[in-house]
Order: sequence, then C-alpha cells, then structure tokens
Amino acid sequence: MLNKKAFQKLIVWVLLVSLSACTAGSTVNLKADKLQKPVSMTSYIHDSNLKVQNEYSYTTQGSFLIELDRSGHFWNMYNPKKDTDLSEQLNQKMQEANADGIVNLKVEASGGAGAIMNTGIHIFGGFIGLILLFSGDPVSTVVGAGIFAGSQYLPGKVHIKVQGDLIKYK
Amino acid sequence: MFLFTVHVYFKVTLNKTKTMKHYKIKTLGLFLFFSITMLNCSGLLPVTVEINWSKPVYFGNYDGFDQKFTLQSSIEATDFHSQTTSESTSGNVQTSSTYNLKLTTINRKISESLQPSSAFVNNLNLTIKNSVTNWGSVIKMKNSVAMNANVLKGE
Repeated sequence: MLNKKAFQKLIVWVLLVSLSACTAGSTVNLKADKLQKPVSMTSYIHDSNLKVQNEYSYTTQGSFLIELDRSGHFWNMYNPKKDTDLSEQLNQKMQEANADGIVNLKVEASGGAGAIMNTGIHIFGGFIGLILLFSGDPVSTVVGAGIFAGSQYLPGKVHIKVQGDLIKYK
Repeated sequence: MFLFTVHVYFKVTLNKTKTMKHYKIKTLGLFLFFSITMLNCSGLLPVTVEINWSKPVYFGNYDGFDQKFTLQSSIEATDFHSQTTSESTSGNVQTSSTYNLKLTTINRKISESLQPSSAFVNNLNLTIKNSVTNWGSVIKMKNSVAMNANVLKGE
C-alpha cells in the first residue's frame, strides 16, 4: 500500500502529466472504389478512346462541392473510425450534369474540436475528476485521476470539402 | 497549465500548515480558470490536397482502366507538417492563418512513378490527419496527408 507521502507524489505526477497537455484531432480515410467514370486530380484525363486529353479537348459543364463532417475521439487521431467512400456522391454529381468525368479534384480538410462541447467535457470532467482525486479514498482517487486525465483528450471533428470540375469531351 | 501544475505541486507538497480542503477549493478554482484558456486549443488548421501534374492522377477506382491497362506498381507516400506556436491571449488557432501543407513527398513519388510516358496514377486514396496538442502555453499542430495508389501503364 502507498503511504500518504507516496500517494501525494502519485497525485502530483498524475496532475503533471494530465494538466500539461490537451489534445484534439481526428483522422479520415477518403476513397472511391466504385466510380462509373474517371475522376482526375489534375486537368488531364483519358477519353473514351483512352487518349489523354487536356483542358483544350473538353468543355467544363460546371463545378461541384461536396461537404462532409467526420468526428472522432482522441484515438481516432491515429485510427479512423471507418473509410469514407465518396463513390456515390461523385457518381451522382456526374450523372446529374451528364458529365464524362471530373477534373481538378481538390480535397480540403479543416478541423474544429467542437469548442463548446470540448470545454464542457474538459471543465466538468476535470471538475468531477478533481473532487474524486482529493476525496482521500484510494479507489476514488485513482478513478478521479483517470477521469481527470481523460477530460484532457478532446473529441475532434474534421470538415471535408471535395470540389472539382465536371467535363464533357468535345 | 504547466505553471498551474507547479503551483499545485508546491502548495500540496511544501506547505503543510493548511488543510487539504483549502487546496481542494483553490485547485478547483484555478482549474476552472485555466479551462477557459482551453478554448484556444480547439481549432485545427486546414489542409488542402491539390495535385498539379501534366498527367492524369485519378482519385478512386474507375474499373474501365483496370480492364485496359496493366498494373505497373503500387506507391505510398506521406507528407506532414507540424507547427509549434505560443498561445496569444486572444489567439484562436482555427482562425489564425490560411495554411497549406506542401505535398512534396507525394508529388515526388508520383513523378518518379510516371515512367514510361504512358504510365499514370489510378486508385489514389487519401488519409488526412489533423491534431492539435496544447502543452502549457505552447500549441503544437500537426497535419498529415498519406496517399496510396496504383500506377498503371498503357499498351
């Protein structure tokens, strides 16, 4: 069993580690496994005869923007919850515009950790954790330290924008 | 937060004259105060994946190519950027700047793979990671983009 002094040291180290950091973030895997027409990230694209064409060989039918939100907890910074397949959305955009393909596909990911929710978790999780931490009961102290440390790792959210140009061969 | 931790350490371990209740209240008060500064670590910087190359680089898998072209190789590459900044009193990372991760490694890998001239990139998948960590008053942001793809070659 830990004596009082060792126990205090333990508390201080738990505080030192957990108080000094706060982490938020997320990971997203983007793929499109079932595309009906080609989607190029450059302005070059193969036509139906499999010849490479550039912007002088097609007309732009319009542009599109797909927006998605993916959220996750701190462990999702390293492992995404699941892959995000964009096939359906991209096929639908091409179908709607009667396009032969997509060029200049660009992906933008920006984040936000959900400030209000995170602050709530951080403050109230930390508050409850600290009360238990200083309760004097060894079991409650360990539980409190865990809750407190956990409240430092905040949920992350990634906002994804996928944009591109819909084209038709001349 | 680091200063707060040091403060708690000294109060708890060195000053024995006051009761734990006193420190409990003081610690909770300070914790709430410092928690408000945590709002500043809630933002994540944007990352843009944009590939400029004078050949087709196909996102995702279009079956039509697999039937007409042969697989030459598979490629993988990762680019990342980490930035450490001091927290300003009114600073909010989310709105601090426009920021683009340079895809140097990914573009180099694509460039190296595009030989012979009929080769092109197909079935490109992306993994984008965003994270922000606040160590005391220092904020570390990390963005990474990982790419895996197939290189196909013509007849």
